[in-house]
Amino acid sequence: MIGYIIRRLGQAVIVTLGVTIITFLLLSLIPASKRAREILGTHASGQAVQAFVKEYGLNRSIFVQYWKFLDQLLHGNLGFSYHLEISVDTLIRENVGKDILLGGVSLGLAAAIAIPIGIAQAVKRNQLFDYAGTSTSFILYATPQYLLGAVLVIIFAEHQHLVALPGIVDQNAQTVRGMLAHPTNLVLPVATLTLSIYALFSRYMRSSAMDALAQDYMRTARSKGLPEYLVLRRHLLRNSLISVVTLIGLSIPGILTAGLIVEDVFNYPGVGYYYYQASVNGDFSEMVGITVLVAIVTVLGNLAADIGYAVLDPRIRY
Amino acid sequence: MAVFNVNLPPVGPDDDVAVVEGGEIYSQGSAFRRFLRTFFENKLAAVGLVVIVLIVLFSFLGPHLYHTDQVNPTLVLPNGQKGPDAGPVAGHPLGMDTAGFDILGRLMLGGQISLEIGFVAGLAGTVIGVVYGAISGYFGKWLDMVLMRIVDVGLAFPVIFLFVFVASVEAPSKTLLIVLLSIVTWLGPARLVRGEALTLKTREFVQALRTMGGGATRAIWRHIVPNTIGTIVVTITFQIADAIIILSTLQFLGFGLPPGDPTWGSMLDQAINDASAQVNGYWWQIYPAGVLIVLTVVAVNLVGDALRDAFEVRLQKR
Repeated sequence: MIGYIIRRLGQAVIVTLGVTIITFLLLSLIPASKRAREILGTHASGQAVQAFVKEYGLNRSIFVQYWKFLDQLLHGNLGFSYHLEISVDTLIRENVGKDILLGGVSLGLAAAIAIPIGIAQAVKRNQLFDYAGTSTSFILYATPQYLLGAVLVIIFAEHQHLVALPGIVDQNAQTVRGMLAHPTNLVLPVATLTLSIYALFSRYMRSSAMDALAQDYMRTARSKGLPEYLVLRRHLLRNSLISVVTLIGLSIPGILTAGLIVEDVFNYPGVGYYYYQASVNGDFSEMVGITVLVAIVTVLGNLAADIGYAVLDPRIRY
Repeated sequence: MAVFNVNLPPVGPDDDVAVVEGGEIYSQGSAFRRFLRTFFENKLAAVGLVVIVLIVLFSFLGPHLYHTDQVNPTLVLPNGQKGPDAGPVAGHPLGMDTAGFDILGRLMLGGQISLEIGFVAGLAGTVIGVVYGAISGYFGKWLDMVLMRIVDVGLAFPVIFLFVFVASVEAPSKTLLIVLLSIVTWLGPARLVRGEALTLKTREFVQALRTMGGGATRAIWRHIVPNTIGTIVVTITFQIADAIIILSTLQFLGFGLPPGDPTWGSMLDQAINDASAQVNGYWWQIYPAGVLIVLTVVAVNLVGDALRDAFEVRLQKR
């Protein structure tokens, strides 16, 4: 077990290094003069650009540049956003709370919906409820998040006026506390992200519950006379939860991507929103910093999923 | 949505097909006939197939029956009304978009481009992934280790982040979109086929070939790849569905093609902008493009699910 964790950690480090290499290669696709003008302004003189390129070593060999890039990352320096005039670390520290709020609530809600529905579908398979559930998840899965968001806005904000229109997030809402002070602003973003994550989870929940139903321990539980609801709660639900852990860990890139789109649709000022703004403004250093961070979170998620699986399921031994 | 599912464990074949031992007797038929029978037994798959055919006809045959000018915008309609943003009028059942193009006709043109990019990217990604995975699994050892870590890096790199990054550097074109989408779609198939290659290479027929002095190329092309055909065909469908969704999301994020190349995604993006800016009150204009995207992806996924069951030999009735 310890050996497995060590090997898995080693792999995670290698993959993270690989991500930094790719990010760096992408960055080096951008001509040095363009990157200089991003910071100096578009009207900078040729001389100033030359001086900048020399000062920051953008004319050095690619290996030297990569080493410098990696060195900074290892010191926890994710770069500096010249558009926002703050370091990327600060940007993330100040805004990541809002991402955790949006993502955490949506993830929790999605799991709370997907698990019982998945189990109910497996138990009542090929009945009306199962078909309805499967159709819903197929359609949700096929709906781009931004369309889902737009449809929810049209139905609930423009026609019914039940919740505030997106984009009317006042200045107090720049912090998590501000967000919580106006919970109505959160309804549509959370609903959109919840449904997106539910679409990711539901089909796997149904098939994993189906697998669990066919196991010997279910038969044992029933034959020893356990009432059906206890069979489902103690044996089916608990075993299904194991696969949820894996599912959450593996879905992290999907959840982050969905989060980026939802934040963009609703002008929700999280890290994803700033990432998108950076892409519009050509703020490369900010984009690089966030990309590397997202990749690290993804790798950690996969790692946690694998280890969590091994910890939760005593049958799994490496 | 699929931007994500690359990383998730495959959903097992659906359930519960009760195999009646010694019960029903079917004519034997060829393997292909058995395959077709299992496929069409799934009514939803037949529906999916019909929907795909209809959408292809709509996009590619439609413009020959319903003539519109998609090159020069109509600024003034025959009845004297302003062309751009006009609502439904005689001859233009879905109205005109902001630029003054007939929306129904544009949906057909957009369908051609969306389907083309989606199919080519899904296909190209699968081919690359199959070859890559087969090589990785067949040779094993250190090569497998290296190749699979590269796949891990790709999976850890959030796709939308990659696209947004490249979009801010390169001007988008159809070819660039296909290349980028293929970069995303090859990862899933590579993993799946590698897994199958790992077991296939220990099978007798591959061992026999090696004993006879057959080379790796022959083993991979004549034995390993043909034996993963089920996985390949199923994967292609899911990759196409994924590519279509990612494509539409990219348009929303501003990774737009030139105006001469509309896609359903760019039309949907336009319609959502119009709806939220309340340009003309025709908020329902988000639905035609939106419904086409959802319908296509659901239909392709339905066919994919049925193909998976049909290739699952255990589910075939003999």
